[in-house]
Amino acid sequence: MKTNSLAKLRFEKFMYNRLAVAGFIMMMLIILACVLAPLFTPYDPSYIDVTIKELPPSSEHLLGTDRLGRDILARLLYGGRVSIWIGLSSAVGACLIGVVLGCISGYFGGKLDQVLLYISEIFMTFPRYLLVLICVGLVGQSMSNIIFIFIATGWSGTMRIVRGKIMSLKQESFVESCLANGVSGWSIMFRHLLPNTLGPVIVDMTLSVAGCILAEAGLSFLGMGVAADVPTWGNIINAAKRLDIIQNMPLLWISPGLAISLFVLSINFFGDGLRDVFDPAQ
Amino acid sequence: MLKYLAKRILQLIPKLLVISLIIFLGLQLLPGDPITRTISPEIYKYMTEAQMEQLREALGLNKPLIVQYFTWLKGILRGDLGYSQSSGSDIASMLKGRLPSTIELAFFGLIVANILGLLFGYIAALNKNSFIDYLFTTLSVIGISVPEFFFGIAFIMFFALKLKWLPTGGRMAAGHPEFSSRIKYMVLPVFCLGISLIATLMRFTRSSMLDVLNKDYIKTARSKGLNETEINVKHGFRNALIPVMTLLVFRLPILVSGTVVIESIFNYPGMGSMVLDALSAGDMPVVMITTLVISAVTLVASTLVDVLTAMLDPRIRLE
Repeated sequence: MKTNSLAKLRFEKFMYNRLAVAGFIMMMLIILACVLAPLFTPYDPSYIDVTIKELPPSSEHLLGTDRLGRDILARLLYGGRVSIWIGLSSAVGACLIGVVLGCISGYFGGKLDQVLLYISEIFMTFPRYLLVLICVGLVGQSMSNIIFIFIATGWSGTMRIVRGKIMSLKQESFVESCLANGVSGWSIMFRHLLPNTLGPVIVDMTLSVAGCILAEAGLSFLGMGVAADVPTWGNIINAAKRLDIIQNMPLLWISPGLAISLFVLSINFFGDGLRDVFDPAQ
Repeated sequence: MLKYLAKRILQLIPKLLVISLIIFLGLQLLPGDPITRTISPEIYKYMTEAQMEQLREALGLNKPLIVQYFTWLKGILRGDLGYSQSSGSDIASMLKGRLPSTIELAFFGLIVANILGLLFGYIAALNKNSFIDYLFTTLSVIGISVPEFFFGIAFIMFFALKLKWLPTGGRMAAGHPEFSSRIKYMVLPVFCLGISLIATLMRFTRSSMLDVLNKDYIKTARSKGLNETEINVKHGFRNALIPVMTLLVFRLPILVSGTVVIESIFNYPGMGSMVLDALSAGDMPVVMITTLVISAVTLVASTLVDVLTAMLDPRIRLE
């Protein structure tokens, strides 16, 4: 019963934070719009028809068409699927690695901890974009490669959070009682200590979804992200590198730019709300 | 203080070694004969197979990897960075033209972000829960949410194309390399680069300042009869700065990453655009060596910020 009422308390506290609730609703609306894309647009996002290129907005093409005659709204919605998927899966993957390494590092301590901490520090001193660019150069541009690279370069923050938490929790008496009862180290780590660190980890993961979406968009904007024929928010904006397009086709870059900004903004509001609930001290 | 400085410098060396080792191993992963990126293609062109074998022997390319690493590292330290595979020019002279412009961009971005971020955070904290506080706090969330390239394109559209106040890109007008003529080329890139850092610093300064203002020593200062400005600036702000500076060390690499995107939007001829050009040409040695140089510079800059923090807070020196 106790956990139940705690969850209820947290839920009430979260609902009280209007910005966080608004962020959550906005986030869900954008996700729904992208998932249910076929309901909102009859067009194929990759269908090229140069006879209708660079059309202004009309009732047929609500946001107009791009240089190759593709419907911008369709590209925006289908592109959102890819961008959000990359953000979510990279953040979850990086978080999982961070949690496992953080647990091991914090629980065992000693030499292993030093080595893991050092590796994470090295990762943090590299300008991450350049590291990602090197990896892109080595393994090539594709969606799965981008996700893999984001996971490989993004775990160090979570690892530090979990490590710190575990180190302080290790001193608690329930760990001693577990040890006295013969519970194994791995079981203490993952079944008894880990659940106590989940609050900050969930907050961190939420905010890193935002970070990954921004990173993918930046990378695709540079033409180094997902292959150019796959629509993503960043790939759509990529066309706006030419001054004439910036000036004459503002919808082409304003609409994906706004989509990214709104989605990331709502995640950030949502994440800040979660932080207030899980971690009142912050 | 001297002891602390020596300690920080000693910690810097192994980190630089590890980063260089990673880059070296990355270079080994590349396909192709390493000799093509070690010597100038001018010489390489006229060499026979026997001469190449001889040179390999002389350069130590047949020796074990670890020996090769140290030979390579010695070369790097002497400024011998190898050769580009697409253009054939040597990387050191390519960098010489580009490095200063990127450092200039990042440096001014850092300065602007610090001044505005700390100032906004300070004002927001002193006016807690007022209209100004809500305005700055909301703006800061927008600042970290909107991608910098979107700001960049919007700025170009508005300030350069519509109002024609500032140039759309580049680093200087043709034939005018002096600093005063470069300023207007720098305004937009520097500001775009700084926005997310301004937002982060503002949020952090605000919460750190609020935290400090609740401390007992602030009450002591007030009961001593010091005036409010003195309390806020000398006792409050100075102490609030310490965690903010620590944050800055972690944010510095992110700022440097940002230059890649910013340089691409504003056609700014720096290291970032050089990395991108090399990447599209498949010229990995240039990408990797540039990354090595940028990381080393960033690491040194982070150490400087650390030392600066220690000057603010004597406790850190004793740790």
